[in-house]
Amino acid sequence: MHSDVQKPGGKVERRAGSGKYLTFRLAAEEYGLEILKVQEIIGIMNVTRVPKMPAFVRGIINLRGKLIPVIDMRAKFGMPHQDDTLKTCIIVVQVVLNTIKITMGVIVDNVSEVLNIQENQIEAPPAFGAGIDTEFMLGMGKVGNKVVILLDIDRVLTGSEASQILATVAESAANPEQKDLKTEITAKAG
Amino acid sequence: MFKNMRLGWKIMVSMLAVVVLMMGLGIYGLRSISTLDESNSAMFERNVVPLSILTGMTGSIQRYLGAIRDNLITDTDHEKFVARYRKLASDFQEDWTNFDKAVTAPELKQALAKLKDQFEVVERTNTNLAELVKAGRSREAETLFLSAASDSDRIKLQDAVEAVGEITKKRANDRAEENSAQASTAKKVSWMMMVLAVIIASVMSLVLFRNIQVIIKGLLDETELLAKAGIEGRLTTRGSTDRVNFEFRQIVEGVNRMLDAVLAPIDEAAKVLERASQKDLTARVMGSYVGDHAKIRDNVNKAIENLQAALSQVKDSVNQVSSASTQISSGSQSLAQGANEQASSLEEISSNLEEMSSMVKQNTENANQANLLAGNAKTQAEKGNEAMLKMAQAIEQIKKSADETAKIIKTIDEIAFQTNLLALNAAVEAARAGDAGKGFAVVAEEVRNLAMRSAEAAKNTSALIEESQRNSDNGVSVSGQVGEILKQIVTGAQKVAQLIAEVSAATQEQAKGIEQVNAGVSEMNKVTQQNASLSEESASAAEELNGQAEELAQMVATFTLDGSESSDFRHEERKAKVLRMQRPPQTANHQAPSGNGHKDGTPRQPVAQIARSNGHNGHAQAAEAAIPLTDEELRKF
Repeated sequence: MHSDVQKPGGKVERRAGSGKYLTFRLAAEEYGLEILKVQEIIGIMNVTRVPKMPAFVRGIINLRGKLIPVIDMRAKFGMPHQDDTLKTCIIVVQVVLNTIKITMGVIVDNVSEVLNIQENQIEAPPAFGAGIDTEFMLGMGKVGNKVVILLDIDRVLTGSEASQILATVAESAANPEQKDLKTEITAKAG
Repeated sequence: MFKNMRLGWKIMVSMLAVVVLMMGLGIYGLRSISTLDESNSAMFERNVVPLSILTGMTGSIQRYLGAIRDNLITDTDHEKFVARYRKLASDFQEDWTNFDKAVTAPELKQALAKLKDQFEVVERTNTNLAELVKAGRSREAETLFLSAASDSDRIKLQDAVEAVGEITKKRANDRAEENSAQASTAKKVSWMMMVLAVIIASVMSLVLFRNIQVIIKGLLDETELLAKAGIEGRLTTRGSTDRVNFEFRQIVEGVNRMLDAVLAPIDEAAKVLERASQKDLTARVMGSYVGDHAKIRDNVNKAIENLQAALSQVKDSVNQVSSASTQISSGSQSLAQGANEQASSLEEISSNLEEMSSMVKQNTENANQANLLAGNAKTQAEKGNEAMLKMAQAIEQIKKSADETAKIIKTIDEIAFQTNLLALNAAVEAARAGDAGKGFAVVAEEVRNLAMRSAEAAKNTSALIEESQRNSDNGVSVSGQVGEILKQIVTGAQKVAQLIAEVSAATQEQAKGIEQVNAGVSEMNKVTQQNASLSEESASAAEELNGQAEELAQMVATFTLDGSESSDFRHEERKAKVLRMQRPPQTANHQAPSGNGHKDGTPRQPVAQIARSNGHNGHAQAAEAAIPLTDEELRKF
């Protein structure tokens, strides 16, 4: 579905390939997620706030007995805050943060549809210059007249942010039901 | 000769005569008094002084004889007695010498010598006695003393003293008789002279009194004559100088001169006034006089000038009155015409008023009908309001059911959303299943499409319901507004009913008012007709006034008038007019016909003024002012 491209600087650049993408809406823009990263889609529900977290972390939710962190994408992308509506959804995704695989919720304005995008419909993200980070984008999908920004959900969070999220998960996983995850995390960290 | 003397001389002569007589009387009196004084002094020196000396001598002789006797009787102290009688003898001698010096009459001198001789005889005897007593031969001495010779000697001495006293007494008596004779002579002469002076003075004063009386009577007669002549107006009479004596003639002459001077200007003024009385006003007093005569001259001249000026003014005024009366005549005629026109106009007004009255009645009926209609409108509006309230309730119910529908639609929308989510999850699951999930993915897609369509439908329905909600809200508010409007209509209808009732009342008032106006108009009609007849009368009166003015002009023309008038006279006349104009209108009333007309040039103005100031009596007084005739003269017309 995506291919890793070795860049001259040694850095691995991921590229989007043909496949199904779940599209959603933030403000006026349409974004896309690889469908295999998506676990499920749920309506907005109560989010328990966690102290000392960055502003973009809304808190944690209990998803059928499993606690998962939830990120506010508007806050993460520096967009103005908007109160939740009936259409606001949480997309539960499975991401790899610092090589650790965790389940995480992403709050979006509106879930649109599942789109099939061919590789020729995808272009590389635009280069704005050296200082601007475009790492979290897989590319720009062209669907009809619209543009869908295809996100690399694994890289939306930076390294330090990911560590904080992981810490939160580790704490919340202190209960016996999540013991396996905790051991997994500690093992991987070791 | 005395009769022809002047009065002053007469008085002087009379007074001189009296003075001479009085002087003679005085001188004689003085002389008589000094003579009496001298004889009085002589009597004192020649008679009284010797008598007193004689008394002293008599005393000395008595005491001498006593002392001798005492010497004889006593046995001791002979020396003392001798000394005493020696002393007494020397006293006698001294007195005798004084007496002898005081008297001159030979008879008295003789008696004195005899006395001295007798005293010397007694003295000799006495010396002998004293020798005998001294010698102690008292018996002898006693015998000598008691002898007849010595006793006769002593008696002789006493007799001699008495003889001297008799002679002195007799001389004093003679002298007193002489004095009283002299005094009675002086008295007689004085009386005679006094009587003479009184007679002369009386005669003289009688004569002078008669004289002065005659003079004063002459003067009084002349004065009375002149006064009588003055009272009777005989100004040529003068006092006659013949009847008055001498210097008093000047008084009469002076009075005559004064009368001449006083009467000359009066004569001239009389002549001038005589000419003026013959209607010749050109005559003037021409003489040059001073003081009060100048005043008389100036005043007479000024009076004639004023008369002349007044007559010229009268002439002018008559012309103006004449033209004014013509104007009044034409004015009155046009007034009469106007009054007739006014009368016809008033009749028109009267008929119009009747029409108006019927219209007002119509209005009243209409107002009543309008009142009924307004009441109807009010009840209808109230009914409308009730219906409106019911409609508002119905709309409210519609709104409620729409709300219910909206809830249902919302539920449907939620279901569609959930279905969409389920479809998406199914798609995700299908994708995970790979090729095995392809069919499932198609189903999920179809489900999603259905969900989308139902969401769309719900959205549309929701929009429709929202619109219907809005509309029903709108309907509620509109019905509220309509209710308000209907309420306003109700109150408006009430107000209209009230106003119409007021209009009805006002119209009735108006009807009454119109009736009153009608009555007033008919009264006005009467008055206008009266005015018409009165103005015709005033036109004829103005013509009569014109005739009177012409007569007056003819009368003024009989005067001979000087054409020129002095400028200062005009000035004064103007001032007088100004003063008259400043008085209140009542006083101006009497002056108006003569004064104001000339100044303003329009004789109507003062008449109007009078009519204004005097209220409803103004008509008659204005007529008097305009037509200077008495009531009797007016009655002839």
